[in-house]
Amino acid sequence: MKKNRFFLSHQWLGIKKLLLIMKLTTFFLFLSVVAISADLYSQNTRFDLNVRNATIVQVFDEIERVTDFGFLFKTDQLDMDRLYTLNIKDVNIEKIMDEILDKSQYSYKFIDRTIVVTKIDSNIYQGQNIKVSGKVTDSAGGAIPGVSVVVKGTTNGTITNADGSYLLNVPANGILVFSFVGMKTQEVQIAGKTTIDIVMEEETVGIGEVIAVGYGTLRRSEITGSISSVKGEVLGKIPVTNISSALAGTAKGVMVFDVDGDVGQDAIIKIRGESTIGDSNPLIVIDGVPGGNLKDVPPDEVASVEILKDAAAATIYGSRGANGVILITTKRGFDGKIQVTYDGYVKFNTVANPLEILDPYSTCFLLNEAQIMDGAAITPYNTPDYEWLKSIRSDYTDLIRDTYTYRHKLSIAGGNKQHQFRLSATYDDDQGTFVNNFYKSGTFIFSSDHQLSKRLKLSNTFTYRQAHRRNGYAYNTYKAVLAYAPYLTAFTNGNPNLYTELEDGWSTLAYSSDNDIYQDNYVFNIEGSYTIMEGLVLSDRFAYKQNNSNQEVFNYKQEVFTSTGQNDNTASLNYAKGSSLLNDVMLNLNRTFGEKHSVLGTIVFSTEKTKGSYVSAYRSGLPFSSVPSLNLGTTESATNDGGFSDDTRVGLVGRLGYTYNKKYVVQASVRRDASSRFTPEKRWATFPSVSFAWNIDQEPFMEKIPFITGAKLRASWGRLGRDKLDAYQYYSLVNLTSGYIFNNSQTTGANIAKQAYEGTGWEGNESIDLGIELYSLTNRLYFSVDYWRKNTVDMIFDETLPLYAGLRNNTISVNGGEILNKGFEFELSWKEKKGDLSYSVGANLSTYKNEVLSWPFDEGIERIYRLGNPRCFAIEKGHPYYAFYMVDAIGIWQSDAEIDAARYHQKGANGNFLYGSTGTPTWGWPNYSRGRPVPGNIKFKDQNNDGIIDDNDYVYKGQRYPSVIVGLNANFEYKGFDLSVICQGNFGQSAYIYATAGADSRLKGGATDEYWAYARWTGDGSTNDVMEPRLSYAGSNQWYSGQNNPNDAHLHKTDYLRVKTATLGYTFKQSFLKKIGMNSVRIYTSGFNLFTFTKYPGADPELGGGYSYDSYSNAGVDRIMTYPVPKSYILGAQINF
Amino acid sequence: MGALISLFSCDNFLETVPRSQYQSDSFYQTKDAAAMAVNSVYNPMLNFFNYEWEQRTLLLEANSGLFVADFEAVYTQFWIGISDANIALEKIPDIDFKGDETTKNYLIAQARFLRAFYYHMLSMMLGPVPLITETLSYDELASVSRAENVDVIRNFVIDEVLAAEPNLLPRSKSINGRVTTGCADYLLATVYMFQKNWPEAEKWLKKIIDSKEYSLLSNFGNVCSYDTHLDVCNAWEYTSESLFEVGHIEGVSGYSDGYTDRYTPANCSGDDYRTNLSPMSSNFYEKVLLIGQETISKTVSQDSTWINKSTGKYVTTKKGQTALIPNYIEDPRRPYTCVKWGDMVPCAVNSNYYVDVTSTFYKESTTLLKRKYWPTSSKAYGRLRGMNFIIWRYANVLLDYAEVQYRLGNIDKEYEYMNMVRSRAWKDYPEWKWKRKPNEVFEPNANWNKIVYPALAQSGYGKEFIDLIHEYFLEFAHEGGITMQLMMRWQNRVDIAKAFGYAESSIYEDRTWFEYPTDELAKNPNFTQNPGF
Repeated sequence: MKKNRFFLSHQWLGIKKLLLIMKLTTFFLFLSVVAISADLYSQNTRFDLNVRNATIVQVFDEIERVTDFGFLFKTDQLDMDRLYTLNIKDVNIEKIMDEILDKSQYSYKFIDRTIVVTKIDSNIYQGQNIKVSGKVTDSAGGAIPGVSVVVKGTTNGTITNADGSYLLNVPANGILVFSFVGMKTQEVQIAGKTTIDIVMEEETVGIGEVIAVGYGTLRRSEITGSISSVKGEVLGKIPVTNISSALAGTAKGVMVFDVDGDVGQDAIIKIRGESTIGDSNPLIVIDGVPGGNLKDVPPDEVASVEILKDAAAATIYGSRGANGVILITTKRGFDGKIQVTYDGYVKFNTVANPLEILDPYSTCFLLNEAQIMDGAAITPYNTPDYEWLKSIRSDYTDLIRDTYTYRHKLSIAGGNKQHQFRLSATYDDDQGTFVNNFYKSGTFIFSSDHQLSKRLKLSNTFTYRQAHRRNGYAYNTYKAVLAYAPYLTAFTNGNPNLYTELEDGWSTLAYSSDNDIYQDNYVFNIEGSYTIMEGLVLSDRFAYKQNNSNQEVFNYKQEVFTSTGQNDNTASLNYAKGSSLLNDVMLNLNRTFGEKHSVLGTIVFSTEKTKGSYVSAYRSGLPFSSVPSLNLGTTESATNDGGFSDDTRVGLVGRLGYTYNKKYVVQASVRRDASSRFTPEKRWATFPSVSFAWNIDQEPFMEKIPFITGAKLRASWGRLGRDKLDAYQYYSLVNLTSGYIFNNSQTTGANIAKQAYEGTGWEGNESIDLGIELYSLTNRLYFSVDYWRKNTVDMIFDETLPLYAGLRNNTISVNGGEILNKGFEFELSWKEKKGDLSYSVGANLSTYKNEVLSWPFDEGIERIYRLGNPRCFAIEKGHPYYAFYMVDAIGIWQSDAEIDAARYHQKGANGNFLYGSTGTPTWGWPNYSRGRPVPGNIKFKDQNNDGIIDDNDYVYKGQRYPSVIVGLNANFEYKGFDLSVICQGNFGQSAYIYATAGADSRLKGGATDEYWAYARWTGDGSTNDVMEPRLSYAGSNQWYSGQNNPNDAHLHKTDYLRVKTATLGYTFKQSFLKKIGMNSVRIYTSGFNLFTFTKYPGADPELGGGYSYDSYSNAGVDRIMTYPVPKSYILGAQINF
Repeated sequence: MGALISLFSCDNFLETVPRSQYQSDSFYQTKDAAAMAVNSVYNPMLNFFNYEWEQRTLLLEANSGLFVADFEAVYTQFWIGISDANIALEKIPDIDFKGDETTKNYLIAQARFLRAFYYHMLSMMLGPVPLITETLSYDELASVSRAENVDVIRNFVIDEVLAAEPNLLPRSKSINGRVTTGCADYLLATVYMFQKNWPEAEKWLKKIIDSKEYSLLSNFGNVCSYDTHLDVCNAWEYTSESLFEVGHIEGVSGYSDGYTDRYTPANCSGDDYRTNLSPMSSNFYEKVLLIGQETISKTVSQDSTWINKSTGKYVTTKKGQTALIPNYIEDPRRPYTCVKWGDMVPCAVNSNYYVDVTSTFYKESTTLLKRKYWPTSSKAYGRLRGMNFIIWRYANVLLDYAEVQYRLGNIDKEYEYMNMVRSRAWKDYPEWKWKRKPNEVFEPNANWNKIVYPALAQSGYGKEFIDLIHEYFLEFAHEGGITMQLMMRWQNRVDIAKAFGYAESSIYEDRTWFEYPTDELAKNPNFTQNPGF
């Protein structure tokens, strides 16, 4: 309760800050909008008009006197005889003009603030309104309902009814615009006709579509690389908080994995697999500014997402495109009446699949069993005293909750031909299913585009985002509950003495800390472009981006368990600021010469400077926990720190393309990149690519195959690079942290922590892509297949130097190793409209194979150590990167007789039998420890039959990433109803179930979980197939003996298919809405993670699949203690005014 | 636009310069920088002369396999010290001290001594290690080889210390914590003893003794524990007995002693019973004391107890302990080394509590708990402690001198110097009346000077050497791996292990040194493993 009050004050701070930003923004808005103000001026300027017996010219004079309007007219066209006497108050100009001009004879229009009055030519139809009716059909003759029919340049319009017909009052000289999703928009001169029937043509996919490709756009027919494109309409319909969630299942070749159920996180995205050591995340470019996060953009602010997958497409981003590029283009203003849209939803979250954990009594029962299994005489828990434990609750339900989360979004957009703007504000309140865990964010985006002259255009985008994330104690406590003692309660309302009497040495459960992160990010992005001549545009993008993060961690003093728990109130603060300044100068050529030759070219000079700095401070000894403020700690305990780093990049990009007769497209691009992280000698690198496309459907012979309406063949090759190493590696830097104590006081020491190393160069990768795309059955059917291959060489990785180097930081980044990734991507989709029903279904399937071609530690196998040290991976030439490598568990030793029968006479290293000092043979048993196993231990397979289970019996057991990824999506629309479903499935990957539980891993991951506890071996014949060994307490201090060495008893396939989202919406009819002043209203409901089909025994195959715990580097190891992914339902509305 | 291009014009734009760190080229220019460079050479001692190093007194591993699980951490620190010394010795000579050559030479001498000291420690455990005396590039590092034999290292150490010694200061003129002439003399003597060059060893030990810079403390309890119930934790810090000592301060990570709660008998508050009383070294002590005694009873699980005086409530801890029968010879140093059943030890930090192992409840399962380096300040509890750590003290000098005399055949002189140490504990120590139980006075064995330690007698050593071994082991139990150093010097590891009753099969006679860290061997094909592994 107390905390809430202060939380409120934080919120207030946030609002104040927001207000300040809004003031600034208003100013900015004023500057930008001044150009379109004429339009607003005419609408909003109200004045009084008072004339008596005045001619029309005198009336105009009076208006010019009292307003800023001016008039242009030909006096000989005006009726100078008519005299006006007007006394009107508080009127706007349009009202006046309508009053004084005979609309049948005169028309007027605004040019800026000048009103041009013209006489209507009497030769054409008089400006009388006429009634036009007609029917809209498709090429097959079927009626199309819902087609928008609008008089051009007005809002006067209607939609076709169920039988495709319409009726509209229109000016006889107007133009009618017919538009419908998936059809070509058509314009028809009315010219007095009263019946206009239209046959709508399906839009030939791709021909007119423009795709963002980085530093420019291309028509789809000109695309030669492998690019997945997801349009904003798709994203807008799925009410997700993050774009990444919407990409799952919709874009092929893209793996999207939720990290866990925690709020406010970006999912992990891998484009075409894991092609390099360390960070293999794609580059995210938002409106041309690289280096963003997907969560920075509200999904329904996105106009399109393009995913550049192959080198030909991504070369344009050179050093940063090596892992693929995600281009986000946000929505912008448009030429038309200002539209206001409200979008909001409420989301209900519930933990779908809570772990069933053992009750305290059962745990003690099992502890007894473990001791008995060890042959121990003492069974301290096997006394009637512990009967009372039956009344103790030990689950973690106090920590989780059902929550609701909401979003409000308001957007305003519109403009005229010259000036357009868009303004949106989004507020998300995302509440985690653990108590005291939330993510609140507000995003404000303002963008405007100005065609200042025929040649000069200016665009800008300003984004401001503020977020507050809190990780309370609950999740840590949850992990502790799972990791430590199932008979301890999470809170102290249990009996704390229980702790004493049962066992010491276990850490306290009641973690108490609040971890608040306040972030505010803003991006200024201004782009000017100048058309030098037709098809040749010079432009410059200037962007400044700043991310401020203020992390406040407060640890509460523990009132119980003080010895190893927190025994002080401490507050720490970390203020980090990162900024980058980007400038891209671009020259774009796009011209067609004659009928058949079209040429495109791009030259970019790109510079970027990134800076990071931080200040941190800490104090302890805060007397009370009610106010978690740093300044309340003691000054003696105060510590602080700070730091700075920067790096710069320069890129020179050239792209040249030639298209012959729309048939053959060839493109080549080259990017020359420099990064400050390399020494001057190694600084520059060149990344070339060539690609080719053949639009087969343009060939005459294709006319003989009428059912193929579109066909394209693509091929590409390219090289990319990476500069992922620490800044300043080639400097020899002094470390000042190694002082000493003289006379009981501290002195500063100085040493060189890391000698300069200049040997590191660019990491490179080379990839090819071959693709075929087919459209059939009047473009209703789409099929594509891609084969790709990506070879990463000279990877930048940290090499650990020998210890005798004597360096405090003994890793350096060096080049080495080679990884090959390859795969196929298939996509099949069908869309159709039948009567009121229009629908589309799509499926995509990506296969993925990864192989290490060489590894710097070629002599042997690199065993990978990870947190908790499961040692379950190896990297070796000829195997997947991070392949599971372990001994084969083939059952459980059932009896002593079985064990004795299996013993063998041990051989020494020289191959001779071993004899003990007394001359008796040394016997061994096929267990890893070489000791005699006991019944209930896991039995390991002796792969080489040498009688010893050792390192030579390790075998490869699969991989940590899927070999097949499946995405399914379906959309239906019927009479205002819409339904969309997205499914994602991953196949062919495994996860090693392993709990850290610190040094004391007696609770093997999920010993607290009933599943494992009850699957255990309890005696001869109790279990053999389910390889859960006997319990053990002594010695290794583990519940389960045989757990120590990685073996496949706990390796499980994580194949799954999951219905990620399903959304049902209904859009209300306009006629009803007009009465209440709305254009359209859509209400919808969505469900997330509704169904999962899997045999995986862990908590969640998507997380268990390994993208769990703390980071991707730990992928493949399921530590059980992940934040459960909630099942969520949404109710929302989209209202357009 | 053109302006923007020029703003970012390439070359300067691409040079990013670290702004929150010094570059080494420009840093090592001043006297202060030189001093900092030398401070850094001292720094690794903070990281291994703490409880990690203390564990080296556990010769249990050493006896059987000469393998210490966390040996790599210690090994790393030695090399860090050597590398830092190489940097200091490369940079300092070029620094202009503006005429203050004394300071310059003093700093250089310290760095040379410390580098030699680290090499001595490395070679003591690993034999011939690579001899790296300058900063090598990453490529050069890869082609380094181990020294041909251990004397290459030992001779280097001797040469270096001989060069440094004249420029060091004697204890009386030196700042606490800095290496002194005495340190250098003792290191020389030690290495000569490793080389069995007894006359040279005698010369340098005698120099220390004759310098009158050092003397034994009158109270053994103050050597690295405390005897009184004072809230004073510096009883043994920088005393006249201290020859070489690692300074720690409280509450600063990296500068504290690294014990934190280890060995800490809690704050005795009664609520806090999760004390991590470490039994780790009791086994060793016990073995020293019980050599030859046949009845060592062991139980699986024992407890010690804390008693809240006011409530009488038992506060228990449970740790696997090896039991100790009570009828062994009481050495007066034992209660300062470890605590056992029957002791009444005042709680260090709260006078309301005391350790009572007298309760009949726990009589059956008596335990030994390490006592040296117990915290002596209530502030220390639950915090990073700041107790200094002794590397060498004057008792080393005296006992080494006794050994040299023994080696030279001067048995009378051996006993004369040995008894200087022994009599402090048994005779001269004024407060030897150790409280066994409240109000009960413990009388030491009157024949303390005639004790025979039977097990080692069985090993074939003469009484003169056995007495010396015991004197060393009893005096230095739990102190900085001194006993390990002795066994490496005496090369009698196998005899001791046998005397301690280790199974023959677990003793590897062909091992001279510790196992060379295998990860290091993997990184450098030039390296060979030590014999016996």
